[in-house]
Amino acid sequence: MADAPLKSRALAAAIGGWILFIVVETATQVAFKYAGATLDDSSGLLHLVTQALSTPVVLVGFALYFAGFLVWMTILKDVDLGRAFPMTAIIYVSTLVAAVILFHERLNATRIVGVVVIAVGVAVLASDNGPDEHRPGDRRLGDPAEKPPH
Amino acid sequence: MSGLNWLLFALTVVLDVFGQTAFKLGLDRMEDGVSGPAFWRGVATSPWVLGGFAGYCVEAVSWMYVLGHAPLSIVGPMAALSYVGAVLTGRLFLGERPRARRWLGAGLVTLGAGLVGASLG
Repeated sequence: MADAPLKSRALAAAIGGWILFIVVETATQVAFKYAGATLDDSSGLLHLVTQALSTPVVLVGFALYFAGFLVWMTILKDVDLGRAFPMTAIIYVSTLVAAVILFHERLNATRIVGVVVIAVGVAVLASDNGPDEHRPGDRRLGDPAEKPPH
Repeated sequence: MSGLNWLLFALTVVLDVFGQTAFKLGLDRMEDGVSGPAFWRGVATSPWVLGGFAGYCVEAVSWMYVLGHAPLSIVGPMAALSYVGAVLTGRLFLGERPRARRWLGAGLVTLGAGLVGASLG
């Protein structure tokens, strides 16, 4: 019984870590979306790059991307990749919610079903950590790092 | 969504898969048990790792363009296609033998991406 508070504190930290991860990963997509919508791409690729590097929201996007990598590392420190990786499928749903709330995108049934099928597919794919393959999924996509996604 | 946008979306996914595959190839070619500064020196001098990183840089710009011109609720979820690409390159170039479950997941992601793309109407 003595370690009960300790356990619940560890659980709270784990849940907090996941919430932070989902928020940071979703915010990264949102920042990149804002960035892409802000940049003027009419004057060539090189100009686009120099412009991107001097636009705050782009730098915020990259900072979030890196922060997501760090949070992911702290999650992997305590949880097996085989258990953590499938959970990243949640980000597809949270990004969808962000698109509706922040960018007022209208969803139809096909799109919602499609995103759910993708999320299930990612969870199924990522949960395969079988012994008969070369090296069990030792990287994560979507979140390029390290990841991915994206 | 314009043809150029779809093309750059495809480029983004291809470069992501290329990057992942190249990182893995580069790391597989390093000596086992290397750690610390020697590991990072190996990473920084591996042509595969550097090539993958260069691909990532181009990918970031391409992805930003795509996101700026397409609904997030379309291209965000569809970017999961890079998982499918990684299963394929793992099988083709890395000697991995994905089990049925992984192929099933890849199939579901492809199906879902198709539905999301079709939802654009």
